Amino acid sequence: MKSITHPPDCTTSVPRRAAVRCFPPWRWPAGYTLAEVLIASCVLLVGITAAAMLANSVILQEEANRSVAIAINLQEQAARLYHMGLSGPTITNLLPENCVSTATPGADAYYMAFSADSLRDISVLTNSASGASSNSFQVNASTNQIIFASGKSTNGTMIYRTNTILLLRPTNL
Amino acid sequence: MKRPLHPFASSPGSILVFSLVIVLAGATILTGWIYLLAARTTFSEQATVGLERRVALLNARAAARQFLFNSMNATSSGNFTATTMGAGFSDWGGGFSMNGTLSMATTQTGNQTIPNRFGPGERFGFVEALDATIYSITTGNSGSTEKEAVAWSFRMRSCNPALAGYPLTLQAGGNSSSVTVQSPGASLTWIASQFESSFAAVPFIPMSSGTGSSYNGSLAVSPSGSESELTLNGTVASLDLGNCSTAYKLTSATANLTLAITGGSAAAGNPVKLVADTNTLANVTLSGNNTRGLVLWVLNTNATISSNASSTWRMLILSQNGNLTWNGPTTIEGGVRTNGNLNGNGALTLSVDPNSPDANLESLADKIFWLEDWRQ
Repeated sequence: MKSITHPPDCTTSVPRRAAVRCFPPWRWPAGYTLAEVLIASCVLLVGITAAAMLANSVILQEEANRSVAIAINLQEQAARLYHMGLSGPTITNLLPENCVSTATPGADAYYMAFSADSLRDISVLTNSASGASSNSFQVNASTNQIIFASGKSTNGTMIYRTNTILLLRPTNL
Repeated sequence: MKRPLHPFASSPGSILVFSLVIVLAGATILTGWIYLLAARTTFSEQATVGLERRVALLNARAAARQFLFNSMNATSSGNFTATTMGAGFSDWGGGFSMNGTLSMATTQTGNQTIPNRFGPGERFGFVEALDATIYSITTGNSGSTEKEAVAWSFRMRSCNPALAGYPLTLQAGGNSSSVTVQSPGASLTWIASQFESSFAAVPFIPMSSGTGSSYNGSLAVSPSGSESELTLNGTVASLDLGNCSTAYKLTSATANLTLAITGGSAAAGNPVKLVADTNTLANVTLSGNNTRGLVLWVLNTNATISSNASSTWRMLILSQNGNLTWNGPTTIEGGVRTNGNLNGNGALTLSVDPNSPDANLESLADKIFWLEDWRQ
């Protein structure tokens, strides 16, 4: 077993050339000064405060991430259903989340709206045996808009985000 | 008197190392946590961009399908060798461009065995009317120059009526053939020649198989070859379906055949298939009601089907390369499919087989053709 050594006290005869300070037993450095404790407390307080502020930010960010993830997933599922040929009201009824028609849906609801189908021209360049020709065809187009709450501002009001996508589908589904 | 030594007071170096290890581990964990938060925040910021790109791909696919639908109209103008699409996509919030080839087929290019409730399945022909490959669909979100290219193949096939479950399928247009079709809640007089000409407006040649002009293909169905030979005595004969097993092929020169169930105890769910390919069968009389399903194939001959007004038959009749005539009111639960003329001398009441597993289901598939696509 390794023996424990301790600083020599002043009662022990120590050669003067030895580079070891001697302390009386009541002056051994077993504690901290008040200044050291205060400084350490301040540092610790700053760290704890920073951690608390970070935690608050993290909570807000997590809420925003969750809202965005749900909203984007919701909009993508709506897009896929639209491509399958379903109508806007049918889609919003099918989706599992609470889809509402008010533009300020609140924390647990999502505003979703489809515009009416409109025809959009797509130009085509065709190279056939008889030569190149240019023509166009039409597809149905609709925009899908979602508005959702992504967090709260410092005064407690909801912060809303809006995302709009353009959807196409064949006219003769 | 010496004061007792504090145990830690004697090892300040160990305390420092231990503290540093704790601090190092804590800093590592904290750094990882912050990186994780940053990743989640990045995901949140980029989610809409990712959505745009995925929707752009879906839009490209939809536009490609529309383009292929439209290309059906151009079958008479020749095959396409290359198609480039691309202009005007800048405002799509996720544009795309496509390059690909199209090739059109107007002849039967394949066969498919389709299981049905009457047996293990028959072989049906189909036309791969359009075989298109989109070499690349280049998509990208509007706010980025990043692009990605994916390849998609499309194949448009004609849909065999056997898949659609039509009670009545006129496979070829006749000159003046017509039949009165009655179904619950509706009735109509079906004139095949008008039926054929009306297809000029649809974007696809509704043929199931065969060659030649539109809607002029053969049924291209064939017996499976596993039928037992059936020889009846005389030109006038009767067949008790109740004593039949499963599948027969008529080999005798029977001209007048009466079908009935007068005995036997065959299970109602086990239909009989009878193939008549004798060139002699002229009259088929359905006597009484049948409690057992019947698939009657009349090949290469003109036949007249007669029955009592009050009788109802569960049957699927296929008349191939011959004309079919209904003599008197006839009620069929099942279907009629022919590539010849269908002449009705009385009302033909057709309905879906009530015992069909899909009798109460609405078909979601397109009745004329379907389009398959897949990523290469």
